[in-house]
Amino acid sequence: MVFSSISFIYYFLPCVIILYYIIPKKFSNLILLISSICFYVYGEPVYIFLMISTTLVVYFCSLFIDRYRDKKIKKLIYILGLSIPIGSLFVFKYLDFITVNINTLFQTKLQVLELALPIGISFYTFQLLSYIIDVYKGNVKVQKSFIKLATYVSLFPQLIAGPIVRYQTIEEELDNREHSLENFAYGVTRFVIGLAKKVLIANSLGQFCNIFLTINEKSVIFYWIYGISYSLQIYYDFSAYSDMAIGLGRIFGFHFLENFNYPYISKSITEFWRRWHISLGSWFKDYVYIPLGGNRKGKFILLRNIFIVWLLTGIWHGANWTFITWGLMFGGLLTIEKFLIKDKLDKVPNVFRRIYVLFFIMISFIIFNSPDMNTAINHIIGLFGVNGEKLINGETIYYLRSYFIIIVAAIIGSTPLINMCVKKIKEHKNIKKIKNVMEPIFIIAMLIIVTGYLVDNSFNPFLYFRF
Amino acid sequence: MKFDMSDKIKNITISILFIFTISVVLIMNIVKKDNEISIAERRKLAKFPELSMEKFYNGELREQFDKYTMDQFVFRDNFRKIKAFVELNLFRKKDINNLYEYNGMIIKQEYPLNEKSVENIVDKINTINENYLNESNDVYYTIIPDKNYFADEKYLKMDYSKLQEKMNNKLIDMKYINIFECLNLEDFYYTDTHWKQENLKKVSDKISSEMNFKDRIVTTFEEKEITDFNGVYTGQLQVKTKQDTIKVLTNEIIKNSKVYNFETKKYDDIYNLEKVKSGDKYDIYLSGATPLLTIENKSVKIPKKLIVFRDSFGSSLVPLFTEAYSEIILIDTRYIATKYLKDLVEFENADVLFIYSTLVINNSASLK
Repeated sequence: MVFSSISFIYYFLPCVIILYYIIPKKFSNLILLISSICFYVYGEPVYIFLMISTTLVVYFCSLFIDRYRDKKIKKLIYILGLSIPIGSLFVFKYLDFITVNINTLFQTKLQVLELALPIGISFYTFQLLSYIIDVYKGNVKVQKSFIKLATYVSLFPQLIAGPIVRYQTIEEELDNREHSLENFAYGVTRFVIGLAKKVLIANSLGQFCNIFLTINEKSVIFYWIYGISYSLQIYYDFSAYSDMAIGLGRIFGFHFLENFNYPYISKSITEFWRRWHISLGSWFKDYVYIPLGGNRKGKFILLRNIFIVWLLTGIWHGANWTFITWGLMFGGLLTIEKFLIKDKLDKVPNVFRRIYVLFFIMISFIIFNSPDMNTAINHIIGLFGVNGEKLINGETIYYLRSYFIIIVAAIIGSTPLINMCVKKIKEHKNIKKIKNVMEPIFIIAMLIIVTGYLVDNSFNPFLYFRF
Repeated sequence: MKFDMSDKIKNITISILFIFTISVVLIMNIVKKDNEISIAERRKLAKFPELSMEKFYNGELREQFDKYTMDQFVFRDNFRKIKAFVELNLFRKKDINNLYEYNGMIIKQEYPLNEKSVENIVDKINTINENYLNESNDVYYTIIPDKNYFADEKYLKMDYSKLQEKMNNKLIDMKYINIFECLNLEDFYYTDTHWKQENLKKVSDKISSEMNFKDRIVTTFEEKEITDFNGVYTGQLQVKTKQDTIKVLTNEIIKNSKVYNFETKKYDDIYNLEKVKSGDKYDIYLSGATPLLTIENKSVKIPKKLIVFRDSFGSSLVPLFTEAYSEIILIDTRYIATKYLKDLVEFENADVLFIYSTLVINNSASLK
């Protein structure tokens, strides 16, 4: 089930919210757990058992780690507790990729398993890993209630598309969380805005990108608009899911951390990664980079650590050379920024710094969205007219005119401009009163418009009556 | 931060409105009777899926339920109108699902040219020519341009010149009748793909002239208005358009001629007025989509046969040829495979006309 669907908004969500708020508070986590399992089973009826069993393994291993803190066996159990989730992630997500590459490299005929990728495995695996690592290090108290731990892991607002919520973020809220009108209304607002971002902007940009990918008559300008549009699409798609997750979490009293902070205003790649998919970046920093020594053990170790982190970051996104290239590209850029150009970059005017960042982000996402490296290279060189295409053609003009407003709205929305305007409005008492009247109207209007789009998804006309 | 009373009211309003909206819609969707069909889309709407463990595990149940929730959503057509309004007026998109409004008319943007499809139909026509036709047949073909051909240059259009060129170069032993110059946008319905029969006199004259039977059509036509008409695009693109009307060109020859339907094994009039009650009133012309029909005109003294391979555009054009032939056989190879024709149709000494619209030529996979 996805958040941007009729079945979620108008069937699942009202049932869960009503049940959650009418049933006694002591059963709140149980209601959330059951709902989350139903949510997961709806989309993934087979691999629910994988998620439950992996959670059980981590649960018991953590209990043992806590029990035997002073014993040597603690490390063995810790390794087991890490291996099972990492192992299942490896088998389902990466084994076939490794097999295919071994077969290509060594001309072998090893069997490819073609296992379906369980939904959300990358997210819940990382959450389980962060929990057991934090228990091992003593950063969090072990959770003795399996229901509470399972609720944390499977919580439907963040189960399938993040953000990666650290156990310590919601540790207290699992036991004791505040339910207030303010939280509920904030959650609704955040959820609906995320929904609008996804359905109205991200999906529309996705249509445009699909047109580019399928059309025969491309042009140089079309390549550029595609690069810009896909960069916007992935931002809106991903940040919208985070908005919806944060909003839904708040409806049930949870405070998840922000996952995006206007990444496209960054003045360096370093800054970009402090603003983009913050939960992933901080996860790798805290659980890979720092334990490997970070920048405290000399230049060579630092370079090694950067390479490992960005290789893993790329791989986390998918089992394909494009994702690995994407990750390593950022590793390279960050290394260059850190060691070669940092002082020089600080002196460059902000506008040029932003152009530099946006250019490489665009290139990286062109690679990210390509099915293979050949296509990625083709699309990149297309930006510079090397493929022999015209600078512009009729098709480009038509689609640019058709999607111009969406693209411009997306660009403006990706900056803090709107937020700044809203903040300014809040400062004026009379205007704030008007805003407080308009806001509920705006939220319901967005919900209605989004519903129109979602309902239209099943639109499938025929020329002749099919019955 | 000082808590403002109006913030509290705002929060209450947002919370209540949201819960109320999603709950009431849930109840309405459960309680309301499911709709059987969508007139706008001309199809059956999804029903509540049958529950089975197999479907549950293979994901089919989820897909069917998702489709059901969208198809049966309360006030579905109104919500679709909202989407169309937002896309066209707020986001200023030029088309929705390749449909656009132009001067009160809905037009499908048929683009790009599908060269493989053109080659496919050329192969099919040449195969028919090779298998069924000989020197006793005078063979012709014509191409009907779709509305997009006549629309503004700012819209995307397939390469019509290339389409005609490909067909002219590859079709063997048949004469091309170019009717592009005979038509303009006003000759088509505002809300449908098809052309208006009352505007087809010039097309009929061109074809009959090229095929040498113009002098056999002497009786004048009388134009009769039959009914208001909401074409196939009504409801697909939720915009305001001009109103269409179905008119027929009739005379005593047409009234006295009968149409034999090989599928139903019945005779009907050329203009089947019972179709006024149907979902697609264009079916008035020759009763709509059928694989094999024969128009029998007993008033012709010297028997003369015309065989027309056609799509739905032929339904409104071919009746205008009735006076010139004792027998006109209409074959729609979207509904009958050509291999069955040898048992059903006698091709000897017949004039043969292939008449297809650019829409079918560009999407010829449906031809058998």
